[in-house]
Amino acid sequence: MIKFLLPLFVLTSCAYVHHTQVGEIKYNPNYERIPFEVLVSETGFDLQEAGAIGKAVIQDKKAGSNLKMITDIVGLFQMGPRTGAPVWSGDTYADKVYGLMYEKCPSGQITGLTSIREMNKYPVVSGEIVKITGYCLKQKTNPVRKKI
Amino acid sequence: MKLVVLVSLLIFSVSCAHVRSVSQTSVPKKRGQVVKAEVKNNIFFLFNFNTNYLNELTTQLQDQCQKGSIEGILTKDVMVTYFPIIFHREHITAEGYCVE
Amino acid sequence: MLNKLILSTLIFSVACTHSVHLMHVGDFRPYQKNTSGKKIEAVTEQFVILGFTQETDYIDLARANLLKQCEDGVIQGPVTRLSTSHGFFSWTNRVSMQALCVRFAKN
Repeated sequence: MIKFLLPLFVLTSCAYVHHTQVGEIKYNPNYERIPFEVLVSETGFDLQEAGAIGKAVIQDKKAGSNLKMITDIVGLFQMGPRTGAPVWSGDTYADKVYGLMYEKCPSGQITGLTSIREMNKYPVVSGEIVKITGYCLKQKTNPVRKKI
Repeated sequence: MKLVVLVSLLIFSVSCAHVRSVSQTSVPKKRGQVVKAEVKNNIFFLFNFNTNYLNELTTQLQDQCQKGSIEGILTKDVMVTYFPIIFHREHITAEGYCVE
Repeated sequence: MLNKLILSTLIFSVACTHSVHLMHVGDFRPYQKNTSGKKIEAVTEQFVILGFTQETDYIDLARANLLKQCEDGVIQGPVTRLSTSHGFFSWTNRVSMQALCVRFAKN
């Protein structure tokens, strides 16, 4: 039964939002707000989930138990607070957003920023995502003039 | 038995501070008067029924800087665990500069 | 064969994992181009064993380092990252602050 359900299980995913922050939104009638989005992500790997799934799927009970024991032991080497699934490549993958924002808006006139830390969860693996959305202020070609 | 009790007391007497979030705004060139605000919320058995204490943060900052704007604010949200499950404290601080 | 597989898995998996908790982006006023200022960065960390720590001064230290790099300018668009690197019964909390230091800009 598990073998028939496994492909269905592997194809499903869930999206989680861990943290959201909203910044100030500036208004100026002579400027238009052009939306932009910056997204960086890294693949997360949930070792405990891998061990639990392995134990459920492997027919040999002893091998399944051994696998679960291995993941539990390895888990001792990966202690600490976590948001989403841990990643292997380092914690600096999200630092790129700083440069990417200026690429999207070279004038630096950025407002209405929303920073979202989210996760797309698949079985065992996940996409750990940092998303920044905002508006780049661009001067209108026909600015608003006051009537005399 | 006495050793177990002693070790448990030692473990529970040390608190565990965990930073939940940190944020900051643009810092001005003129950094004169520093203004600070802090609020604390005690949580027993993980039950918390209101978050109104957070509104005091901006009130405290404004009271210290009535004739100016407050810029360069660093906000820190720390959860301190004194006794796991039984007693936690949420400690939020905001520190900035009063620019007149 | 199973022992070799277990051993290789252990060796492969004992590498450190990391977790980014949040990424905050502050406001960008006064609006300046990226080229009109200097990028500044401050990174501090705190090593914690089994979660026993009573202070979070590493964040204030990062902030002080950032301010020191731009004493006579405006710090614009601060980006703050809070993350943790996991380890054996211990971990390292890290905060990284990046910003643009614009000198002689009007507030």
